[in-house]
Amino acid sequence: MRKMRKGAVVMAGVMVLSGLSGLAVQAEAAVNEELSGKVVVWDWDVNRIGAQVEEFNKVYPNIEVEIVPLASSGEYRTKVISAVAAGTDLPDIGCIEMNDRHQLLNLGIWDNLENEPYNFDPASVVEYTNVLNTTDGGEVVGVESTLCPTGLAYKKDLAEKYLGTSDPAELEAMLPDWDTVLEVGKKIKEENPDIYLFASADEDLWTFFTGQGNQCYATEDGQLNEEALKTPVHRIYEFVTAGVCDRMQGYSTSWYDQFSNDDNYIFDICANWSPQFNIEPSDPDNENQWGFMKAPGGALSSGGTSLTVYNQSEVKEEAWALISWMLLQKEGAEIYKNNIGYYAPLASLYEDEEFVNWTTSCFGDQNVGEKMYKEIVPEMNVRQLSQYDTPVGIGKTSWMTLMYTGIDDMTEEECFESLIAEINANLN
Amino acid sequence: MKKKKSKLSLAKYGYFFCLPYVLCYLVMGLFPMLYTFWVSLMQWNGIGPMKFVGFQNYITMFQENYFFLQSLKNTILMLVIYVPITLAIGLFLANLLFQPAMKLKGFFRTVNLMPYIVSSVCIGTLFLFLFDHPIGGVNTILNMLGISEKGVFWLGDPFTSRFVVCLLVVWKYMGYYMVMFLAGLTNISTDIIDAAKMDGANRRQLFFRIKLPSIRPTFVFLTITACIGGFQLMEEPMLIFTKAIGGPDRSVLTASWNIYNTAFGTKLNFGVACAMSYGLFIVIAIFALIGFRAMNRKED
Repeated sequence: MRKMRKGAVVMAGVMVLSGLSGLAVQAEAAVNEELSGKVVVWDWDVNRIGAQVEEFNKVYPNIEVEIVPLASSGEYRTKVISAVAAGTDLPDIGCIEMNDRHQLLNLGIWDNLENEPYNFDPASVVEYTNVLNTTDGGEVVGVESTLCPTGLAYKKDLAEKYLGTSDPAELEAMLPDWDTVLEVGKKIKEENPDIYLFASADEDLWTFFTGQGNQCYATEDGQLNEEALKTPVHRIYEFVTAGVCDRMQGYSTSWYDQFSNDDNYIFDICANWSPQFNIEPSDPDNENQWGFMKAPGGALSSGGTSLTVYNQSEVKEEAWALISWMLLQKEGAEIYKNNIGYYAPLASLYEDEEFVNWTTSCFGDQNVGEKMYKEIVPEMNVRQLSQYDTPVGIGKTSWMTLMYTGIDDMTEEECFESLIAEINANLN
Repeated sequence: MKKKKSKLSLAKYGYFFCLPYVLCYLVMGLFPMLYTFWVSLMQWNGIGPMKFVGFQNYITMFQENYFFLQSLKNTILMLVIYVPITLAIGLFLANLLFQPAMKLKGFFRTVNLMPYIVSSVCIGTLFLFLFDHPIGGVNTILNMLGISEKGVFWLGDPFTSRFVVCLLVVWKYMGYYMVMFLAGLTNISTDIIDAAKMDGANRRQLFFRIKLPSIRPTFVFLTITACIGGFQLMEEPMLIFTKAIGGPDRSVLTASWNIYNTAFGTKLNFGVACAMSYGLFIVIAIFALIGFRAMNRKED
């Protein structure tokens, strides 16, 4: 009996040990020690990759990641162009912001990710992201670093006061399209001259009206597609001259201030990155003060950065290991989301209800993740990239500055002509 | 024979010690200048192959959508405004601090020099806060005084935009000019000043008849360097107008900013940008020549 007990204990010990060693083997299998080298990234958003390095190194312990912080995406653009012109090396992973997307993706310095050693399958990611990462020659050279579903954020107390409700579903039903928004805005304005629905035409309205239009800025014969700009100009003219939208410049001091200290503006444009970069840092008492709803007129994407691999890199596989771990594998994508709230483009992730859920301080317990990734993303379409994207983006900013001071003395036709003139001034 | 040999070996040392500077000049000075000229004869977007176009870029740069003349006009206009003002304020402050009766000289010298040593990024941000519409510091004061209820759109109007840029430059550089003038004033022999005082010269006479002529070389030197620096003005307006290139209606688009934007902005036209650089170089050279001739006249 005693011997049997001893034998049972020994057997149990062996089983436990073999089980543990099995686990160890499994854990070892997940670790890749073959890939090694130093991957260099220039990035103005240092957390995008920087915050994932520790976890990434648990899987790829021999890949060192160096993040070179830059002040802005503008500085990044200049550095890339300078390096290309001077013939010097670029970092192994490229970060291409939406405003520079067409220009930088078509420099001919990024690898086609569908080829070896990447074998990226564009069908594995949310479909619209491929449109934003394909060159004029049809090569897929980038992977979107986050989906950017965009809607409207609103101050709950002001919505309650001037619109009678702060419930997102009721507000969506009340404001189904931009014509209705304009009429509601005018009514509020009549009774409350200091109240605006929006603060900035160049940040809020332009993004909505061009983002929902989705018309490429180039015609098939390579000319500027002026038609694509007519509706945005018409809408902006209506909203600004009616006083429904104020004349604040986006990202100015006043614009940041209106998130917290101003009770005159009800709505702000809100992409998934807006709480982290705009609302919460600007409004210290933001907790549960804001609501989020779908935008009138439909779904849209705003902003976003694409990750690419430099075609002269000596650590291509290592660079791709980092990109695919973060954006194309569930394990990394979950860590990525939990660390910085970015949502990788891997399509299968969005079948998981748990993954989609997301709340953030300013929206209280509202499940904005569900609204963004279950309701907005499936409806999202994006404008095809073109050589006019950057001239339109820069021309629009100069045009808006003039519009803010001169719009009251201009006809809609004159406004449109001045926009076209500004865009043409940025062309060769 | 021996003498000749030692002279040669001495010369070798001379060449050896000059070598670091000469090498640096060749690599960092002469090569970029020649390369810029070479690129100015090419059609090149910085990425693809270069195509020789002769002097075409020197014609293209005068086209309306390259804004060379407008940017040059903006630069000269602002320069004509802020250079005399900055020099005058610098001289006034230096003269004030030069007075023997002045107390806390060190403190005031440091305070006035502060803007010059602060990073331009901080100054740009500060001015953005000050001249923001509608909640900037200046508009808040105007509102409190009842002068403007809605505030002035300082950075949205061409005239006020130039005003803000000029103000920034004056504020930033007046301390530097003050220090330079102060150095010039310190070099004046006290005997001359005392003799003038003994002869009954009042403060105005002392300043215009003794001090100002004595610091004339400093004055001319600062005027020339201020003009050259003024033609290269770029950072200050860029830091205020971070989004709209050249500010409203390109009213503060300076020549250097325009060159930068032509090369690295939407146009990506390195050829025309290099041609513009040579155009600007000629303008600066003319101004510098006039200045140096004015300076040499005194020495003659």
